This record gives sequence, C-alpha cells and structure tokens, in this order.
Amino acid sequence: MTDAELVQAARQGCPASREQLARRWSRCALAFCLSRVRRADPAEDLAQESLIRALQHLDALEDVHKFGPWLRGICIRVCQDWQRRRSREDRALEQVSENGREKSPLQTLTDFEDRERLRQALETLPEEQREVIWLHYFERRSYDEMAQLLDVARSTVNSRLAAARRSLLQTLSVSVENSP
Amino acid sequence: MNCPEIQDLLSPWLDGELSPDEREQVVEHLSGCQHCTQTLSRLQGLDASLRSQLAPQPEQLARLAERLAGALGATSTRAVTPSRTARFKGWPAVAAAALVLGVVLVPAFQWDGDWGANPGFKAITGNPQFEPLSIAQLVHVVGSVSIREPAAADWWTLPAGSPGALEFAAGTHVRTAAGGLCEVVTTCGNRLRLNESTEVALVSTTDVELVTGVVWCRAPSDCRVDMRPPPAAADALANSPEAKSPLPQFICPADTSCVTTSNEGSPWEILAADGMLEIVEAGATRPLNEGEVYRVDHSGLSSQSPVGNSLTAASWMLPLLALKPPGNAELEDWVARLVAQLGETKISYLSENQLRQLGPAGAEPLVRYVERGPAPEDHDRRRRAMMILRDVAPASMTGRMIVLLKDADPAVRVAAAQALRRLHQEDFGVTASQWEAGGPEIEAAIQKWREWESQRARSAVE
Repeated sequence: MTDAELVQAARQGCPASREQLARRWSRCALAFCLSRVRRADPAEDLAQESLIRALQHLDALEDVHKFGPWLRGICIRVCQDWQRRRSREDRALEQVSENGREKSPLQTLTDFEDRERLRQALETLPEEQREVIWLHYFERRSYDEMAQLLDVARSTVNSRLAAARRSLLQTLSVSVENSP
Repeated sequence: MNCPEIQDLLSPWLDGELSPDEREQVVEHLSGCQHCTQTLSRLQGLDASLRSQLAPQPEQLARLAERLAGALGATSTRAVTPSRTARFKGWPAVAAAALVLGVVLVPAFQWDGDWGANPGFKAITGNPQFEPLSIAQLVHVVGSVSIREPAAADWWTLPAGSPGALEFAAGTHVRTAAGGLCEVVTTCGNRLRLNESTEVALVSTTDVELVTGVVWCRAPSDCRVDMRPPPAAADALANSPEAKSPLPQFICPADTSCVTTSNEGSPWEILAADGMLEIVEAGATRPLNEGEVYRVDHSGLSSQSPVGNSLTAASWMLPLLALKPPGNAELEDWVARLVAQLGETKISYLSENQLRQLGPAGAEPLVRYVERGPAPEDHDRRRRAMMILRDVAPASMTGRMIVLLKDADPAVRVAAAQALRRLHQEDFGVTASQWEAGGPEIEAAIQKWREWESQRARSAVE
C-alpha cells in the first residue's frame, strides 16, 4: 500500500495501517532527528515522539501524498522544542557526558578509528547539509527521494550533498594536518 | 568540460545519479586529468568512511521499532516501553519530555512520578527484529474483509477496493464477509486463502486457528502450517462430558496444500488435500493420504474417508487467482486441472461414439486427463480416452503424443504411437508389440521422434 492509502486507512481507524506507517518511516524519522540533535539517545526518543505525534494527528495532514515531508516538519519542531527545553544544567550535563559518560551517534555506530574527527567535522556543517548526509548514508535515499522529502529541487539536493562533501574533505584534511 | 565543472559532477557520479552522457564526460575527463582523479579518490575515501560510520545498526533500529510497537500497542492494551533516556533520572528535562509523551500521547498510561517504580510499566518483550510486529501480509482482497488487532475488541473493515500489502501482527484475526475473499502470506511463505464468511486467527507465521468458514492453505518447501481450532473450541471439548478424546490438530507440511472447514457440525474438517497431511491425535502424528478426507466432530470423534477433490473444494478461489498478473503458473495449472477434470467427466458420462463425434475439438480435455497420469483404479477410463485420442488427436498434439510414448501404461504407449503414425505416416520401424513390451527399441524410437519434432520446429521457424 502507498503512504497515501495507509494514511487514509489509518484515519479510518485501522491500527495495522498506523503501525505500518510507523515501521516504514521510523528509520527516516531517526535520520531527521540524528541530523539535528547529533546524539543517539535523544534522537531515538525524539524520532519516537515525532512518529507517535504524527500518527495521533493524521487528520492534520492536508495532502495524504506528502506524509514524508509532513513527518519531517514534525521531527524538526520536536527537535527544536527539545533543544529549547534544555536548561543550562542540561547543557552542562551534556558537556560532562560528552567527555565520556554518554555516547554520540557515531560512537554507537562503529568503532572506526577516525570517528571522532568525522563526528566533529559533521557538526561543523550547516543543518541542511547535515540532513542530506544523514538521509543519504543512514537512510540510503536517492536524490529524487530526498528532493521529494525536503520539498526542494533535485539540483538543490545535489549541491547540498556536494557542498557537504567538500566541507568534510576540507575539515578532515585540516584535522589530519593538525593531528600529532 | 573544465576541471571545476567536472568536480561538480564527482559527487553525483559517486552516487550513480548522473545521466549516461554526463557519466561519459566524467570518465573521459578523468582518464586525462590527475588533479580530478585525486579529488575523486579522496571523495571515495570519504564516501567509504561515511558509509561505514553512518550506516544504521540493526540493534538501533530494532530498539526503535520495539519502542514504537510498545507505544502504539499501549493505545489498546499494552503498556508503553519507557524511553531509554527517560529512565535516566538525572536528566529532568528529558524526563519531562518523556512525561509529555506518556501523558499526551499514551493516555492509557499514568505516570506516578517514578519511571522505574511504576508497576504498570511493562517492557515489551520478544525478539527485537526491525519489524517485530509483522508475521503476515494481506496480498489480495475481493469484497469485504475485516481485521481485529491482537487483544483488541473491535473489528475494522478494510475500505472498499483496498489493495493488499497490509501487514499483520501475531494474534491478528482476519474475517471475510459474505461474498468476500482474501489471501494472506506469512513471513515464512505460507499462503492462506479465506473463502467468504470465514475467520482465522494468525497466531504465528506457522500457526493458524480456524474459527469458522473455509480456508485453503499451502506450505512452501521450507515451512509448514499447523492448523487448529481456536482455544475456546478445544476448551469446550475438554470440559464436555461427552468428550471422547482431545481435539485433534493437523499439519500441512512443506509443499502441500489443503482445504479445511470449520462449521457447526465440526470444529474442523479436511475437505481435500494435495500431498500428504499429518494428523496429530492424542499426541501421536499419523499421515493422511492424498485423496482422503478427515472430519472431527464436537465430541472429538474423528472419521476418515477416501474422497475430496481439491479443484471442487477450492473452486471459490478462482476470483483471487484472477487478480494475479497474467501468466501465473498457478492459474494455468488450475485451468489445466479443470480441463483434465472435464476430460474425466466426459469419458465417464459420454459414450465413445459421442466423444468421437466431437472430433479434434473434443481432444483437449481428454489429453489433459490422460496427461494427469493414472489414478488408482482408473486405468480403464484412461485407456478408453487414449483409444479415442489415437483416432481424433490433431497434428497440434504431436509433441504431447511423443511424451506419452514413455507412459507407464503399455496401452497408452501403443495408442500414442498409432496416433503419431496416423498423423505423420511414420513409425521408425517399431511395431505395436514392441511399444507394448517396452525396452531399448522404444527408447531409440522416442529419441528419433524428439529429433524429428525439433527438426520440424526449426523448419517452421525458417
């Protein structure tokens, strides 16, 4: 079934359709949140919250063919709310955790030796470039799919991804030069 | 193109997102430009790093899927799985966010101020796969079909004209209304088709409870279907003073299909089977031969008899088969079997003269019937059909007559050879008595007939 058909069925009360939408979009929601909060634990919570919020308010979706872009909007708002809610103490806690208590998304993903440099390089990217990187590498989305999800032209996806790669190469080469 | 223009194309080139023309230009430029080749090499290194480091981990996805399943299930009967972050008590802001999630989004759950101590807070257990809920998929629907989620009280009817591909969790009930049909495939490949006014519970990928109605099922080569009555029927029997024995169950093993019914007279009854089913009675398993049927009554008494025709018992499935794409082997096989059955009916109920008067036009059902192979105690009818084919089979059946030259029945071999001689004035020097006796001569003649057929096919093409 297409997203639109699932949305229509879920609106009529079909729990299986609702669950299928959740399964189909959970990975993408996680990619949206990972690109914004940069930390695996809250990203999972926020992806869950975004999906549940979307599924509870399906009636608010104007165009049933645009569940993905609509979900992205919810993910962005949920992540922004979460960032606003964080108090100074939380930030301090996070700073402590970043020094070893908690894991970053990359740290939980692999033990690649360059992960820390790559993580830092990713954090220097503008949010829109980081988003296409996560969608492309985490969610394996094609340019056309990303264009549809982000509601931009395919050429914009191309330029964002190319710019992100150029920046990463530059940052990483500087980082390599500066490393002991 | 110059270097800056080519470098703009390297990123999409890595992703396979260039047009064939652009790809060609990039390749041509790279073959003569060391600077761009180095840039590409660095991009490829970065791509490999990102690919390995940003790839989702199965356990990460499984955890999210499990939590979503818990959160969605909580709206019916299950409690939500707590967010991992929310269990971290030293993080008030996140706990507050999770509180919002728990109160606003999962109204069935009440927070008592202590995430860890809440007695109503049950973790969802089970195998943490990416799609822990899905055990089966609805693939075809005709008419009205309803589903009931595990542990839910209400039925939900699929919208009219709803396509398939809806996934089901373990414990889902599926029900067809009058005039409704549907087909469900479990994750291990078991295929279930429900006739109208039928209800089943999908307990797991292999376990099915037949509540009422008629179900056809088929197990693929690496799975099986365990069919049983719902627990209520088994419990009723166990508590009944007339109970003679525990209610038997049956297994539809790999590469086997069957048609089963459950009705007022019987908790379950096998109407027909293709392949050997296994009956589980009083803890022991015994086979049910193909062509036999089996019935259990409400006191647990079983009976077995040698009837059952899967074509007749499952003829209601045809609208579902018609939904499949053209050229599907199952529908073709079904038609072939139906035509063969027509041939069997003709040979059983029409006189030989009547059949001969039909001429070549009447040959197709007869040859289908003969091709189906001999059934027990059916040799005479099959031979009579073959005698008629000897005289009426058209030239278009040459290839099929050649195949029948190898038949196990000597009379069929002789009749096939005679049909070929009538059609093509050729016998390759093999006599009727040699065809009847079998042996090396007929092997050589069959080979000659095959070569002759191939040659004729080539000539037709040229």
